[in-house]
Amino acid sequence: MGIFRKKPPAPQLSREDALNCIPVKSAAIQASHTPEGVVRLHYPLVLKPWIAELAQRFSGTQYTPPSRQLELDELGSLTWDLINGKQTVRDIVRQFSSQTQVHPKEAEAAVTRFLRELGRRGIVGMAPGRQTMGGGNA
Amino acid sequence: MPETDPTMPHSVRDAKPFAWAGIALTIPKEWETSQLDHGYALLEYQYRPVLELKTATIRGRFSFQRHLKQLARSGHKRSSPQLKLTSRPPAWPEFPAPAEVQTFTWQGAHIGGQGLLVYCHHCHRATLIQFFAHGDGGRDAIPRVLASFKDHDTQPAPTLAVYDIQATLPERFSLTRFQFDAGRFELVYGHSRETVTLWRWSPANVILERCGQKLDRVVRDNGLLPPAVLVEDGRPRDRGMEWQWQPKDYRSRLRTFFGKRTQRPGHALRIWHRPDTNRILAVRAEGIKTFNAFDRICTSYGNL
Repeated sequence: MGIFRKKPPAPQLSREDALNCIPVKSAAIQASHTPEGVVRLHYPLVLKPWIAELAQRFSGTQYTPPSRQLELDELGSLTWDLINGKQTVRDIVRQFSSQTQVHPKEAEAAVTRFLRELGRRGIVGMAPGRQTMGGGNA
Repeated sequence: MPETDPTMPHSVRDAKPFAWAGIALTIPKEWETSQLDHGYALLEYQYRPVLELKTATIRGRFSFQRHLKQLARSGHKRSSPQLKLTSRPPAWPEFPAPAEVQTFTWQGAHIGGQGLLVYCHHCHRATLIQFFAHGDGGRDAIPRVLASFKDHDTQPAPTLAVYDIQATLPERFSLTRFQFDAGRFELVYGHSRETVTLWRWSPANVILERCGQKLDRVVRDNGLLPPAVLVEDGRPRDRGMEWQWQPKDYRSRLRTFFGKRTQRPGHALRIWHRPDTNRILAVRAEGIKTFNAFDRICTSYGNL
């Protein structure tokens, strides 16, 4: 009966903890700069395990997962270049804000949405960053 | 509204205006707008909340207990924090009549602080202000912030001063719609048949590059003008462009038919680029009685 048991909800990160995470690029990504100065990403498509298993069985030769290509715009390329596996989301937001003269709150919204989208495609992952001293909203 | 202490140190360089939902304050420069809603504002300092503001016009008789509970429950939190009424801290300024004030301490699930409820008998507005205690020195700013509190007669202070924009509109206008997206702000003010819309885009260099460095492309791509007006070239204004046109609705035609000599309300749009702040600003006025009023709004609209 264990498989029908409702999964416990994943623990939700506070905003402060989320900003302290460190975005890390996936090793499977190939990034290149176009002549226009924007970043082009080649990334393998993340398949559900059972679809990947089926594809593996039915493909006669060595199976390679399908890949996709994503061209970032100017601001996306700037954010991509700021991801170095050491800087936290907060650091990236600060640098993005100062480099583009965008309001810090807008920079936070834009960068976090961008990282969430890259995370959904399996292009970046989040490593836990510096621990904080609690806090948050009432 | 409160009596300010003239001996209080107040550096204009370290402060900036904040105005939203009819409430005007002077806040430390490091405080940033975090969330806005109708009658609601949350300010933060270094990604942590410092001030929450809830305001509403009270119809009927005002009751401190009832409206304190109502306002504390409203807003973005489902549960209201525990409140404990206290006497006014000595450093806080006095609010003279016709304002009534009740101070309190509050405690939420993770954090607490101090606060006050102000009710003005003149404008019938009740405002709940809650300060968050983080133990990082933000408490020093509270008396100065409270001393600058205004809930009516905010002129000549700006009508709007949030995020990085500020504008002064004639008092008859009220905010009807707003949208704050990353890169694009839009606020619509209205009064009777007059409408004023404010826009702000950022970063301007990226937007202008996409639009071939042409502001009229920004106007066209964002649908700021009716197609019939857009075919005309805008008049160049300093670092921007302006269009003025007459409405072609039935009221305007009737006015022409009866040969009315009174001044016809007009429409206008001005868009300009601020390279110093890397912003593009635009104001559109519809049904405005005089273009002088439009000009004054445009002049007042800028970056904090």
